[in-house]
Amino acid sequence: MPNDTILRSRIRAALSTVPVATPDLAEIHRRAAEPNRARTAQPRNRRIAAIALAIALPAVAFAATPHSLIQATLHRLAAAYFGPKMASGIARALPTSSTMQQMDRIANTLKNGSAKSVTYLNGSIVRPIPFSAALARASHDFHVVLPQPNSTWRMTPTAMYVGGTLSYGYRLRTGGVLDVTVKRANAQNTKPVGILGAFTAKFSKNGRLFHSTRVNIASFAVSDEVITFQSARLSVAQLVAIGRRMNGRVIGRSK
Amino acid sequence: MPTAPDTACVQAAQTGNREAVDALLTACWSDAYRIARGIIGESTLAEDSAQEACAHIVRTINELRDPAAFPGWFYRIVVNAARATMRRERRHRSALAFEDRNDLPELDADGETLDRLGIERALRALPSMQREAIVLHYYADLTSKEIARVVGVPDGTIRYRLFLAKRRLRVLLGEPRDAAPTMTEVNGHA
Repeated sequence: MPNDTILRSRIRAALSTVPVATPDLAEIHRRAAEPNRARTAQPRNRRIAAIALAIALPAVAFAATPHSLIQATLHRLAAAYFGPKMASGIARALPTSSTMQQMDRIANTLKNGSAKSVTYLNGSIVRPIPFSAALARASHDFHVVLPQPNSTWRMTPTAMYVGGTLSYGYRLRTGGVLDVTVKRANAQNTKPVGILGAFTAKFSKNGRLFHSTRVNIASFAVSDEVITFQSARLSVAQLVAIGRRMNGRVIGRSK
Repeated sequence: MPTAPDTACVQAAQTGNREAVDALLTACWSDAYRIARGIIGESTLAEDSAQEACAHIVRTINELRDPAAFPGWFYRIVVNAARATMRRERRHRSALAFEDRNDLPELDADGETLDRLGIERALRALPSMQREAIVLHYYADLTSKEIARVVGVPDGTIRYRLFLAKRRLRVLLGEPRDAAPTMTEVNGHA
């Protein structure tokens, strides 16, 4: 018997014994009545336009994405892949101060606009805790001196103490200029003996920040409404005094 | 060999009579499915492809001028639908997964089932154009010239595809090497 005949019979037998499902006539008629639009070739210029749009849209979307959001996303990815420690190092190495501020803004926006709810600290987004709790958790003795409360200021009721970094913030509700000085305390933690840095922030009448200069040592992040101070490390028992020149007062002290 | 619907059935369907169309589709369905299955190699996609082919038949049956030409017209639609299905699937998958999970043999599968699965696996190993030629040649019993008209390539191309496919199938199915076909043998069947 020719091999071709064997092959033919085997293939025919194989395909003939394939179980066949019952035809779904209703589905066939439905498909016939509603042919897939994608199967109809569009005119050439429309196809070119569609392709151009398909290329352009992601590019525009990417360009429109704030750099800070990309950075924040990268940071989270890095944290997921390399762990928080390395991600923190990467985050510290990559973004500039301005991008960190932008990240704060974005994070605050993502958190339903609550400027007090998130702050970017040491490469991590942390939630604030009440100021008293922050003091209780502080492992070092420190004083915090704030400018004398003013009716035009609004100090955030929460503060953070994370990894030796204290932060809290306030704003000028009705606009104006806020001068803040950060000073180092002496050994007894009673008087500031040296100026660590200073900055000036200008607020609009609705409390939006217009302009700020940077503190030399103590970093700070700016959201749309609140300046958040992140003091220098307190492990050497530095006393962070803010606004002593403005008759600041001690609002808290760790044990 | 597939049983083509008679001319009267095609003519009745061309009148737009729903029952006649359904009768035509019922008569064509198994062939559409099996040819698609042979070409695509996967039952779900084959059913989808057969449905597309049948829907195309419903839409364009009136354009068929000669009812006697229905078989060739039908095979062309089925092959084109199968090609479109594979093209669509390749967009979604890096490589078409021809392994059909639904057809994994049961533990107590008989020899016929195992042989069928072996044939299907060998068919899947062929390039798609050779698979088309083999299925149309062996299952639909078309000559190389008829296949050439269905596929839209020269007759010689089909004969060469059949030659390559048979040579490959014999290796895959474990037949002796000296039993490899000659071009004369292929041409003889064409």
